[in-house]
Amino acid sequence: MSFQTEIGLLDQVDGSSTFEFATTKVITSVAGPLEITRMKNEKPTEAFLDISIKPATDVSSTRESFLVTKLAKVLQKTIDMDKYARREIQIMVQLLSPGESEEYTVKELTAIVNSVYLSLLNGGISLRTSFWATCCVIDGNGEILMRPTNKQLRQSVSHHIAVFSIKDGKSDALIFSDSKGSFSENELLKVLDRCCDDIDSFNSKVKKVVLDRVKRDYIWS
Amino acid sequence: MGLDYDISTNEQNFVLEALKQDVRLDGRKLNEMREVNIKILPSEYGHVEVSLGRTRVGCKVSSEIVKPYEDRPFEGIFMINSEISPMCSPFFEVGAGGSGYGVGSNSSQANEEVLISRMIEKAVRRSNALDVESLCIVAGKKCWAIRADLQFLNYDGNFVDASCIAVMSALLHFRKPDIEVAGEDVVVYDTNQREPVPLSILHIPISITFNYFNPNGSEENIKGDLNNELILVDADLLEERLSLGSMTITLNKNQEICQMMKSGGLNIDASLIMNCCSYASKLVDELTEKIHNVLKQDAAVRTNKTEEKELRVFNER
Repeated sequence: MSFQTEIGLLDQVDGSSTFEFATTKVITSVAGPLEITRMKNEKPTEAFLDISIKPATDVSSTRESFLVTKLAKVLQKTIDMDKYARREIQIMVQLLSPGESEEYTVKELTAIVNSVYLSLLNGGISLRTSFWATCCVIDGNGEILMRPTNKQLRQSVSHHIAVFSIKDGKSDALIFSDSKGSFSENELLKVLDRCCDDIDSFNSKVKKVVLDRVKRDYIWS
Repeated sequence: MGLDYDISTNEQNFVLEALKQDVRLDGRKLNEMREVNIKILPSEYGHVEVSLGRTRVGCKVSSEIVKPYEDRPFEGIFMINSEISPMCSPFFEVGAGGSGYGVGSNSSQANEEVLISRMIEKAVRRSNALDVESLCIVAGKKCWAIRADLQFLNYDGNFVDASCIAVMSALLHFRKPDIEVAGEDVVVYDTNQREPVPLSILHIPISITFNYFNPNGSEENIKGDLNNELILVDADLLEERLSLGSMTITLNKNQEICQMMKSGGLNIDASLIMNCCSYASKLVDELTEKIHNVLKQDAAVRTNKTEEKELRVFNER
């Protein structure tokens, strides 16, 4: 099971991409660096991230704000915030198909993080590091299943998401991890190891899609 | 972000001069619509994506069972959510047109969004395209609430027409779970248990937007009676910005006018408006046909041939 993505599909914003894996699909856009719209948001030494997430149905609720805070945690560490002092970077997320029941957010967050990463690259925003997210569940038998389906998620004991930075084509440091359910410390460490391997397995495909897009964006004589 | 589109004088003159010579920047004729592409997402019912040239709009329909409004016990609820996000263009602000904090703070962008929402609302909801009485389950107690969420993805002019097509095709495609009523108890069947049922759609309103340009300067605009305004169908973003007036007319294929709105300060002769209407009706016929074709193709893909054979009452001899 892999992922599908389309990069740079919207033309009014600086960067955009769709990301789809295991029936979860999102579209994200990045615009920036822009002038600050509301004076109170201006930060003298770093960029202001204006993140909004819109659900597939209904209007944004606390669930979406919850996702926003988590996404902000990842992005504040990865975007080169000092470079865009007193500027605003606008990140829009539109969920197209959640692919999981309402009480879960792992799959959506994974798709959002990955899609925003591709959009940031497409938008030419300076990053401190490359990163990639993946998620998994631990089922009743203590087995770890990577990128679960909705059914596997509902039958799981705990679920986890991990975001790793990528250095020299290998996953490097843990940027963000979030878990819910009951699990032991050992299990968590095992989960993180597996996530690491999973992210490594994606690397070549991510590189390829980004490279393809860059080839199309510029004229290489 | 409230960014405005600054169109340079050179560009303005170029576009207008070209229009006078019957040429549009994308090579269309003045009365030609852009390619309409309706894509139904395969994973569920009632989720479509419509593109009109580079304008892209998604629509997702969902349903739930709720208590009807106190004053309308025999009717279901139908809502259209048309919040425009800055994703489609930095021209729109977050929450500017809705009930958010942006109301009143910003001017023209917020107005634009309200205008688009109101127009879709008038065209689809107020014209009774969806039969809300059929959504009633137990009078005064339970009814279906149908919700259409519009996702504005890319803005290149003419959101109204694109979203009208999106909402209507999504509603036509949507299936709500089958239910059984016994007294006050309602049993909702899973989609695997029983074939879900389509909504009852009374007619298909389709909006067509015309944009008007005056080739003869402002004096002619006020007191002239030459009637040689340029009339464009389906303007893109640049043309929409430069036009002096627009008219959106919503028709169905029975040639009933569901809604009509003319805005902008350009006076248009009544006979020209009539011409527009009859031309719009031709376009509406084509678009209705197109929607039906797309739905038919999708239905063919979705039906399970072997299952259908098994469920048949009689066998082939």
